[in-house]
Amino acid sequence: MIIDAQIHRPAPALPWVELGEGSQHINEDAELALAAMDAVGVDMAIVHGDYAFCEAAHARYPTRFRGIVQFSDPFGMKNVQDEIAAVRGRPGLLGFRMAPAAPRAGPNLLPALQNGQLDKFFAAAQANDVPVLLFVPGGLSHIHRIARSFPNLTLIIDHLGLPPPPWVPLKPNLLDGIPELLQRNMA
Amino acid sequence: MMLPAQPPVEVVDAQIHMWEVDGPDHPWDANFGTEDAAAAATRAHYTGRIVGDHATLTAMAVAGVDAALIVTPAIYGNDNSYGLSVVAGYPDRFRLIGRIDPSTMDLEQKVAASHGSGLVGYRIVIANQDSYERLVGGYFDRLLAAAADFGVPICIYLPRRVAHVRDLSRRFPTLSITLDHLGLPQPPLVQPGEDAWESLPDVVALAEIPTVTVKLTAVPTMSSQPHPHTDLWPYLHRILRAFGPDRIMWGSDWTRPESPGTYREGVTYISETDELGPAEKALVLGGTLRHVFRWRKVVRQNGVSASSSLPSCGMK
Repeated sequence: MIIDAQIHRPAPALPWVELGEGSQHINEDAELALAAMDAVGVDMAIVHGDYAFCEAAHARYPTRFRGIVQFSDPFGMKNVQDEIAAVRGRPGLLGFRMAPAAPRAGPNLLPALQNGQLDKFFAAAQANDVPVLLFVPGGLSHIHRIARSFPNLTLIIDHLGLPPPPWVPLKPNLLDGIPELLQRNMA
Repeated sequence: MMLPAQPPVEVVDAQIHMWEVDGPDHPWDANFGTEDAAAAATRAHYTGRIVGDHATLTAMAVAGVDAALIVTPAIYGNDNSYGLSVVAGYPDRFRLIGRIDPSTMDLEQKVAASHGSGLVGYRIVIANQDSYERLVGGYFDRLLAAAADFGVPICIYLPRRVAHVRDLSRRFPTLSITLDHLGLPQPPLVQPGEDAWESLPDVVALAEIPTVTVKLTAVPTMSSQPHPHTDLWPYLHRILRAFGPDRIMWGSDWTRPESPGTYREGVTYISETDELGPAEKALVLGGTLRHVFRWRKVVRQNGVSASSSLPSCGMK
């Protein structure tokens, strides 16, 4: 079985389509994703997106899709504890993702990651056994602190923790950060 | 010495299906799926997945397919408007094989109007005794005559009764007839214990009729081995020897639930095989189709489009 650990809605996104009164509405991007998966033999995929897309994809194809909800504006959340506690109870959702170094909207949150302002998210995730995915190119050193502070937190580092294109130009030394990823005990 | 790289072979799929959500623009046939359990299962297939233009183009890109003939799915009855709208949106990528009611009043006008519309042929499916009796009884004769008169190819699926094509070609000698799915029964039409290749000699015998061509579509459904389905080649070579690659057109029948592998694998069992040479692949994977259905390839250079000449092959 092949499970793709990360796919997204394409940009620009395709529209929602009403399937009929009293029936589910569908998202054409989920149909598109499934067509691409079937064309190459990917059995399942974890979609990364907002609640609506994750839940719609899972509702229509429960054996093919699970979701990681992306918190694009974490500090806009009304009640961090309650919302994170509810993540695993929502249909098809496996965890949440934050992209402090490359937010879709708002400022770079790497300083917040560094100074502990995001720790309440990790605490809530640990308390509720919710896996956290972090996209932190250039911020790997902070992960060591977070992992030590929240030893029971399932922490997943996206994209090797390195800055993939187009965040940086493609260059030969792109993998120079690998030793930092592999370092077991960083001061 | 390095050999020069082979230019990529153009891949044109001879049969795919696509549809969108049932709605006012392109309503589904309300009666389809009410006949029996098999029809209900087919309707459920179309409800369970929506494979529209975006999804199809994505799948084609992933599978390495450049262009395709859309075949109007049964869910639309004889309404070809959705496929035509897709052809209009992507004229370099799609043409349509339509369905038509052979008793419709203005049949001849409709067939004549096909030229230039994006609809390049019509399909007839004769998969049970009732439809076979209609065919023998002349129900399709007006359509066949009009198609012959106006030079519009007919794709016919006639499993187990493929030998009847000889009679059709005798009565309509100028009609271009394409045998769908090798002219053989494929799942789910294959009966338990039935040899799907039993009527292969009947197919091979039709090669002497120069107006008959073959769609090599959904053939992995007939394999008992995984990709690349090497057990198919003894059969395929017989058909290739009889018809020649310039009368054979590969196709996937994409979205067919019985297909054993991925769309990509449905291409590569032909495109990457050593059983065919580059020239044969170029014909089977697209050249023959462009000739039979008169679909010129558009070559775009610096944003300027120009039609290339038709392939040099001719129908035997």
